[in-house]
Amino acid sequence: MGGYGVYVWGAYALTLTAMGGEVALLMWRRKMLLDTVENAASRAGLGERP
Amino acid sequence: MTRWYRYASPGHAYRLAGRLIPWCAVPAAALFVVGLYLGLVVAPTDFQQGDAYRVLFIHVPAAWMGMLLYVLLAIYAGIGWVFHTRVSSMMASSLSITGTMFTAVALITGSLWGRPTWGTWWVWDARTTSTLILLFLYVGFISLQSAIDDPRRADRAAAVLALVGVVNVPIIYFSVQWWNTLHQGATIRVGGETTMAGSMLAPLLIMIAACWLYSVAVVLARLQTLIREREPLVAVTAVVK
Repeated sequence: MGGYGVYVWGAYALTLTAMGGEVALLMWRRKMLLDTVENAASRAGLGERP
Repeated sequence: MTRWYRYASPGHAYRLAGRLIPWCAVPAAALFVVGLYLGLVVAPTDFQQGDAYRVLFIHVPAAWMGMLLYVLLAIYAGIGWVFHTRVSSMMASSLSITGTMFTAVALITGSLWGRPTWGTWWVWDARTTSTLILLFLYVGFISLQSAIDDPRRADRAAAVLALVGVVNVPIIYFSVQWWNTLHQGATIRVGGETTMAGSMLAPLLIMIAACWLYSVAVVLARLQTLIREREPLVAVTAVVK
């Protein structure tokens, strides 16, 4: 298994990094937006954190 | 019929996405683990390509997702353009990022497979070139949406590009039949014989299912984010309800 070479491992490493990066960026953006939504909620008098 | 229109409402879409995300994300993670184990540990070495063929367990699903997500993007962008449904346009935006990622992964992993198999990183054959054009279409869609400040106008302009660009998808799919290309023909044929051993086909199909579920989960999570971004009050009331 260890001898598949740089091309195979490189392909899997790249793919998992791309997918992990996409998820991480999305989570970061969602976290950033929570503040915006909280502000909108308090303006609307709802006051709940989603 | 009227029930379908409920999902054109950002509030309904937000709640539905929230319910569906865990049902897709958890099986996707499990299938990735099983697919990687079968593909990297259990599947035998190919007698012609050696171990380099294992790249295909990620290259083929990525290439399929790149094409399928573009078709979905064009459908949602078209619906958003014709019926002025905000959620459809937001779905198209959401699909574009994951589609770009998968198309880029398909091109790079294809290159990593081509080097040991073909002896070159890149050839300008019909399949690879049309897939590169697909990547440019995705990038063009995202750039066009980002370049226009008004989201409604941006959605309309990007929808035109998406609908024009969808003609490239059948070209990618049939390129190996229409032209004499270095790229190999289809391994899995819908309604035809599959030219792959069962021990290699199983991890491939599992990885395709994993990529599908991953895409649904990520696209819906991004849709929720876009609804929060564009219509924060709708998102709040959808959660509070």
